[in-house]
Amino acid sequence: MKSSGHIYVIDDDQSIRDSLSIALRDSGYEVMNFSGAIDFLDRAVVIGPAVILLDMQMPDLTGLELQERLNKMGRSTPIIFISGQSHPKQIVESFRKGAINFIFKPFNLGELVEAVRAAIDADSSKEYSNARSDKIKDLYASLTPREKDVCDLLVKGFLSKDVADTLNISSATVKIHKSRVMKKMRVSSMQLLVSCYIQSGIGI
Amino acid sequence: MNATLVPAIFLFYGILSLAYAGVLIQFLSRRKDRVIAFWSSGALCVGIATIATIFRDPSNLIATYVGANGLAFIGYLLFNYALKEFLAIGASTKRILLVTTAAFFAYCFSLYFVGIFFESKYQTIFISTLVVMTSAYAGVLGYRIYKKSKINHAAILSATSFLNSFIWALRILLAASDISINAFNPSVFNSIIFVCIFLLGMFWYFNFIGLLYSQSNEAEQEALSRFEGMAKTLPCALYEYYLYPDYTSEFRYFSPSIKEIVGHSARAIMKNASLIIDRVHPEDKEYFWKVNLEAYNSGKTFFIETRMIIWDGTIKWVQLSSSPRGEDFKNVSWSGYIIDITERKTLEAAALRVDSITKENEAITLLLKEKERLVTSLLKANKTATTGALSASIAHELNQPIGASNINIQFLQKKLDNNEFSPELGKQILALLARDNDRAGNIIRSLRSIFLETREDDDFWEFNDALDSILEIIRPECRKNNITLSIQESGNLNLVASEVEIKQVLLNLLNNAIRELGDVHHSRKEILIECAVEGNLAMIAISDSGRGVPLELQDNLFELLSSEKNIGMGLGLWLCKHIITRHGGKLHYGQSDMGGAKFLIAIPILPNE
Repeated sequence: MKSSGHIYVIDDDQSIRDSLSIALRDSGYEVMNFSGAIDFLDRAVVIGPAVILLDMQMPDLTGLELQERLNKMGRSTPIIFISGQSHPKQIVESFRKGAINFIFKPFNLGELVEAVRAAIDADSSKEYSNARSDKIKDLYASLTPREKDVCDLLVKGFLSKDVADTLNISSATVKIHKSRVMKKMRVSSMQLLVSCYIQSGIGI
Repeated sequence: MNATLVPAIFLFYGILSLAYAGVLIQFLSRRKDRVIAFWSSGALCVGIATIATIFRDPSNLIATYVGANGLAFIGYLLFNYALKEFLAIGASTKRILLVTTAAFFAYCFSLYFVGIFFESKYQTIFISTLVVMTSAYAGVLGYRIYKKSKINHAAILSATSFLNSFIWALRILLAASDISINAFNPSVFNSIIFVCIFLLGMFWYFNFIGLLYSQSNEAEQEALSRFEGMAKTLPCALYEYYLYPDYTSEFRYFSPSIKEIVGHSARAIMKNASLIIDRVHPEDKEYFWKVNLEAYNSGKTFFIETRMIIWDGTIKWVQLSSSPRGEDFKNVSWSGYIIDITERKTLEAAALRVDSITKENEAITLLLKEKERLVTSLLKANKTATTGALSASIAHELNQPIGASNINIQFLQKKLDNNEFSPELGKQILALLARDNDRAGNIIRSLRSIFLETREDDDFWEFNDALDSILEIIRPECRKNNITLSIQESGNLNLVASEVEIKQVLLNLLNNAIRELGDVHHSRKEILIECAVEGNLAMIAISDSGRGVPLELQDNLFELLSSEKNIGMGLGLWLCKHIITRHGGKLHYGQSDMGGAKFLIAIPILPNE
């Protein structure tokens, strides 16, 4: 199954870069090559969904060091490490720091393509969920203060009657606010509203 | 003339002869001497014969006349035998007895028969003739003795004998002319003759004594002078040593040459034996007395080689040996010699030293051979070590082209499986495969060439090719460590040394530079290789931008295992210098312009044919 996405290959070896580019482009991905970490940091503009194929042993910055930097910078693109020889410690460290996979040279092409696909998928779903949560936050921001109060309480599990008591308004008012919230939040049920809250992390 | 004169002479002569014989026989008891034995026997016979003649009785002719004359004849024979013995040409006693006995009987019978068949004058003639003959022979013998021994008495004896012959020849004449036949004839002629015979006889006896005395004197003198001559000229000194029961020593004789050996005169030593005995080296004294007393108590020959301290302090080696002069060895002197063997001992010691030096030389040769073997092993080990140090990067470097080829091949496979293969794609992939394969091949080739022992064209190889081969191996490591390699090649270079060994030197030096630059963080990481030609030498410099070698380690830089810090590096530098020097070149250390180490190789170039 082909899905489009961007692959950023960071390896100091020409042969590796060439062979990977040809094979991965043929699988439908956009491939960009970088000869080192600095080169990547200087030139790359990451477009998601993407995956970084990262060599461990590089002269300027090692793979682990780049990973550390990217983490600090808040970049969340998944990283697949490719390496000819690595110390077990390095491997463990890379996973601890959030690598999605580790593949040894010489590669099996099928295995590599599969790993790339999984990573791209993970990235895209993360993207989707990120986009969704942003959208929900925007919708919530468009609620009036009174509507936000009602919404919060409803999500917490309060019945309409209890909401009216708590806010010192009539239950008819509550009913009107509730329908307005449902319309604005674009949900058709209470359950969906709750799931929006959870997805976007509002007010919890 | 008085008729009693001749008989009186006979008597006197007879008694004299007997007394003379008696005295001589006394000598014999002291000294067994055949000369004296025969002579005294002769005198005895003559004495008896002469006295018997006086008492001859015509009625008993045989006993007195014949017997007496026969005995006299035997006497003359014995005198001659004595003289022959003197000349050392005598015969055995048995033979002499045989001859004289036979002669006696022959003489007696002859005289008797002459007396029966002829006139009495012919008896006188017979007797006289025989005396003439024996006397003449005695004269000849005497002369020979004189010629041999130059003793005057012998000459006189000879003259006496010849005169005797002459006188008795006169008697023949007198008898033949009937003047005087009988010995006791009172005529003047006869008397004169017998007086002469008598005088000659006395002369004869006394000169023999003189001869004996001279001879013994001669012999004695000869022996003495021979001994003295020997004593002076022999390379050793002779001595006569006596050890008293209280163990004090005495030298009863010492030959003069002892002075040369110990510096004291023989006379001084004979007065004071401690001049020798106390001079034995203190360390050898105990052994000396042990051997001395062993010999003294057993009677066996004393022999020792020992040291002596001479009066001026020098030490000499001497050899002493002595034997007892009699069976009762504890109570007699011991005759011995002492000889200076210092020279021999020195030579022996020198020979031992030469021997041990030769053995040391052999040992050193063996060690050198072993060293060579060790160096060969080190060279091999060094190869492994340096390439081993680079093995990680070399392996990684090999992995890259192989890994890439793997992907390319799998990709190609996938395309073929999906029927998506196109010639352009094929070309593209093939090009990549070829390139990556070459890359792997080069590294492997370069590695192999380090380990190859010999090549057929070892004499002729290009330096630049060798350098490239080494760079192939170290480039991955340089890249890994971010080290820049700069090379300044010169034109074609053919070096005197073997390719494998020069590659090893380059590998070692470059490896060291990489180690240094990789060790510590440097702002600038650069290795510079420069090649140039100066005269008949190739100058190859390898410089790095590291910290350089500290001043205190620079002096011992090329010594085997001198640097405690880095044993591998220490070994490698020694091997590099060993290889370069072995080919007539030089390896120096200096400071590079980049601030780090600079190793300069100067090695002869192969002359162009």
